[in-house]
Amino acid sequence: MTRFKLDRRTVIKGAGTISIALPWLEIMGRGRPARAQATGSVPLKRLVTVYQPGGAVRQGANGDKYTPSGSETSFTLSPVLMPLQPYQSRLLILDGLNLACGDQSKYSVEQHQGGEVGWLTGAIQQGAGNYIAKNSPSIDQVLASRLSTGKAYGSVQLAIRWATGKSHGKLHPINAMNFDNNGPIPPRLDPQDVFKTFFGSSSGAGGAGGTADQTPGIRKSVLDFVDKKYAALESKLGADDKARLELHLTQIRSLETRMGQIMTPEPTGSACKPPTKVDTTGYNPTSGLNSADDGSLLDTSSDSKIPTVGQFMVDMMTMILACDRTGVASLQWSDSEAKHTFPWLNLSQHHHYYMHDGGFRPTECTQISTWYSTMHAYLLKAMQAVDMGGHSLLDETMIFFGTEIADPPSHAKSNMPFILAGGDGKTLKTGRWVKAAGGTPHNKLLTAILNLFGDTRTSFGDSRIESTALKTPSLT
Amino acid sequence: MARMRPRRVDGRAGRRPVLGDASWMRPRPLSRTHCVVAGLSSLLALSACTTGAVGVNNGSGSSTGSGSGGSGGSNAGSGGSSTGNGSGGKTGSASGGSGPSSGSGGSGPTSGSGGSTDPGTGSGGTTALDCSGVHPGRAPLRRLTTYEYSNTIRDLLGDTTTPGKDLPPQVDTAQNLFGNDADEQSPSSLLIEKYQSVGEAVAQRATASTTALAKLHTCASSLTTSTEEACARSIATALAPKAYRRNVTTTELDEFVKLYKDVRALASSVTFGMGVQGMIQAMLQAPEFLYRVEQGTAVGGNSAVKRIAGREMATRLSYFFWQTMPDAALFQAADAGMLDSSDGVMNQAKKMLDDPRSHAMMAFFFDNLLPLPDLSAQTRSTDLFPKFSASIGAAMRSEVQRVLEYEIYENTAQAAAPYAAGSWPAILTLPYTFVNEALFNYYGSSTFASGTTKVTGTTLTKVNLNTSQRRGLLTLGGMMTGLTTTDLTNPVLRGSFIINKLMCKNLSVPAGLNPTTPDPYSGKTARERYGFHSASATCSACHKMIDPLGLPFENYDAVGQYRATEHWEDPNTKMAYDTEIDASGAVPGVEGSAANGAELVSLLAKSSDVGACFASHWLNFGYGRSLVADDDACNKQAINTAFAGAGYNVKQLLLALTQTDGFLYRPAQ
Repeated sequence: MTRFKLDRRTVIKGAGTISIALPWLEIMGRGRPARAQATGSVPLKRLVTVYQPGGAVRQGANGDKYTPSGSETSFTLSPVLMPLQPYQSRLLILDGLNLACGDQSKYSVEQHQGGEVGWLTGAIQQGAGNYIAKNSPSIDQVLASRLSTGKAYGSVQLAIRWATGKSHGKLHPINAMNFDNNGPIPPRLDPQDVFKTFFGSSSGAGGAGGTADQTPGIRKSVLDFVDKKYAALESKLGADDKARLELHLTQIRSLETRMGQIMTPEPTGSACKPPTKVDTTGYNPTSGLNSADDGSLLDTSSDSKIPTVGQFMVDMMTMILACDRTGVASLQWSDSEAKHTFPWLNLSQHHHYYMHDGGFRPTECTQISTWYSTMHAYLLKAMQAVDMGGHSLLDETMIFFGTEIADPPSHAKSNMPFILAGGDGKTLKTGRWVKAAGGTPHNKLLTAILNLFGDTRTSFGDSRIESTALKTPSLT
Repeated sequence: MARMRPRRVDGRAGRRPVLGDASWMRPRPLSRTHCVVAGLSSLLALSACTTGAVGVNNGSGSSTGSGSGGSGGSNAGSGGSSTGNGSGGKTGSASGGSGPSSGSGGSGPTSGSGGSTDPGTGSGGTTALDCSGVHPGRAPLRRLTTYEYSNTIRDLLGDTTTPGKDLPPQVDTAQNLFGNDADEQSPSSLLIEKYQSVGEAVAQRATASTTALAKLHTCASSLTTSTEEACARSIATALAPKAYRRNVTTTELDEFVKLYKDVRALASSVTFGMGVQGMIQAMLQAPEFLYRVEQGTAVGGNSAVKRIAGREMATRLSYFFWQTMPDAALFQAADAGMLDSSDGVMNQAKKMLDDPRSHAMMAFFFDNLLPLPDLSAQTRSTDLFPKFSASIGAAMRSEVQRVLEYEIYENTAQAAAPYAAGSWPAILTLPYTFVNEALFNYYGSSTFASGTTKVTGTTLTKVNLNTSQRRGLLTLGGMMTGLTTTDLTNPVLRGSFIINKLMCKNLSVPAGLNPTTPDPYSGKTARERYGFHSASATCSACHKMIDPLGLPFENYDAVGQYRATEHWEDPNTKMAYDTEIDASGAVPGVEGSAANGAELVSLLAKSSDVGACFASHWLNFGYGRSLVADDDACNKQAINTAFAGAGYNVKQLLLALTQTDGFLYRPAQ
């Protein structure tokens, strides 16, 4: 029996007797001091990207509700960002960047899609309805090879209430954010399935992606068999098809490796503690399959569960990182259509309606963005609460909060509301609000982020866009 | 779920984005900066308002753009060269080289019945297209779609749980509307993980009891320790050739039995059933099951291409017509060499198209081409449209599908002169529909030809339309409701659907344009509200084509009801008015004008673009990829010639598709 299992049981028991209403981290975690006390710097070891739809509210009938005021190091947060105030010292608020790859005045890209597929890739959408070119990976995938070496998963993608509108539950340029060389990567949608996969196996350690409990050796024997089949067939195929099977085989081998690693018990004293399983009854993770282009088909039952599911997903993502299952995680709050409602905010129309389908509604957009800030604060709190041995998980992680447009009514891509968070204060100089000169392409930021993690490239993304690493303002 | 509606769980959704972000088509305050963009001076050239999107496109081979240029890899992958003009004439020798497993002699000549192409100037004035020789285009390795995965497991193991719904979604693409573009379905880490867990669950169900095991092979019903291994072999022998869709070798069976034994040896608690489960798990994750592997057979005198024959052809036919694995009879035909000539393929294709199993495929195709799947849960204001409901929406979807099924499969009498029964132009101009009592009452008796008896009961019954009000597919209530997303009609949405999906002219929002739609109160009728399009040179570049296609349908309101007038209210005085609708319009590339929707569809039926576009969608669907301009010019020409030659008959189109080089051949590797 492994320590892992004992911990999980303990946690479940403990949580169950206290209260089921409180989010798990508020029970188990107590919040650590903001900074690691250790001398020297904690290297950045993990990347988390967090997407929220619909840009910022910097204009409208009520004025600017997003932009902070004050100076670089002494600033006051706006109403939208106020929920992040307890973590102000952990933030690097980065205004002024231009999401140039989604610039409709220069390229034939779509309003939301161009920003969605370009945010983490710096690549330009190839016309309406299309993705970016192949071999345009997003920064998370570039860094996966560096940050996830020896870990079970190269990267993990999670999404909440995703593929809501005309994508009808499918991967589509309007919801695809993470790309490897071969195209978009589907996120995991089902919170119960995520739990089962990463924390739920009764064989004593995290599951290997199997839902049926099975004598562990059977899976291994089967995969050995299958592995040989792919290897044998490859030699009989032409170059293109061979490459397809080769990719499939690579994924099978990483599944095999993953199974081996997951069977390994956690070291004593590990920060790895599976979160409490949360009841998500009423939430349909594939509700997007039933969506209508215009958001006219509502699933208010799933919508009302978004906060519960969202916190559960954040809890799981935190522990997937703390358990070293991967070094790279992505979280998507909905997609750039965001055709779902917000019952807990008493908002009965979908987000896109408030953005512009029903005419720009700054009051409602402010409410929604502010709520996302509370969720981001929840993530920071969760990661800060995990002790990795003298410093927190947040200290060794960089989080990139982003979106696909700057301004809901105009779909403008200038002055994007980007925020970096985490680090130990040295690896990433936080507690600042900085502003890049107008027109600075965000590709420069992507290169700078890659450089922060030790990737030494000097450019990134589409070659039409300037992308030398961002120096002014500096991230460090 | 607040509202559930019946739709394919893992199929491709029906209503597709029409022009970029559809949100720009909905009512929003009219911005006066709308449509201001530089560089759109040509009002006539279609290219003035196309963007870089590569479309299925029609007619002439080289008209597609290639993305927005600049950096980045090719969208279409490297692709096989299709220039192989090796062996002279198309009807030259295609003798069956090494042959399929049972290799019954050489194959016949390649030119099929009725489907032969004549190279050169065939349709649409294509310049200098040399289609002599064999031009299959590309044939990327196809993986079962989630829909095909469910069907195949149903037919292999009798498992009706549609397990494909638990796989990650198919990747959506702009050009192929059917979710089966092989180039875009990259195997993600999550997919491989799910193949493991879903396959495990399927295998577990298939081996859960003695009864279940006995269904795999009768030997499992009377097992003794000494017969177990032999029985495992019998099960593998029965299943593997079906799962792999080809004959399997003794070595391969030995490997399965070895796997069975390895699993049994893991622990004493591992049962016979668990051993068999291991074999099935392996089968369901094997490349031969998940992928449609094709080796092809050599073609004499032409090393650039290979012929698809035997079980490989059985597999192509089966997944095209039935979206699942071949059945025993089809394998039998393949093994008898009956699929090794184009005539043989044609004969088999006719049988398969006549089989009721093809109807689901036909419905799948139209569900993905037309805005039908959402109909059962469209929401409309109950004040404005008290008669509309979810059940009416569902009935409208059934109505459209029944009309299509009847005209394509059953109708033998010409209904829409001058077009022959079962043809695409006939479908566009049909004078009849199918309604049940609820729909009859919903539409009202004036919708139907005078003297029509009231329909009662729930069965859809054929009735003639009052053709001064309605005629053809597009004017049916389901189409008009499906092409409306709010309580207000939107002629741009309807026109865009026609131009993009039915004419394959891929218009999209030009770069730099941030379009908005007019305030619903800015004019009395839709024509007035959208009138600013013609006032602006920028807007009219595209909208002079889009709007005249959409405005003729203004006689059908947001829930598909006929109306002669549009109701509107003056926001200032709160006075209500009913203004007579001007439903005139035109079809780009077709002479004449239409006074209303019923007339417009007659012009559409005459458009060669409409026929070629319909055929292009079928090629994309049938080939499981997106057409490539250069590689597929000959396939397109062949199908267009055959389609026109058959009077645009839909069934003949599908049969002709099986006679194209893209279906009969593949590039050599």
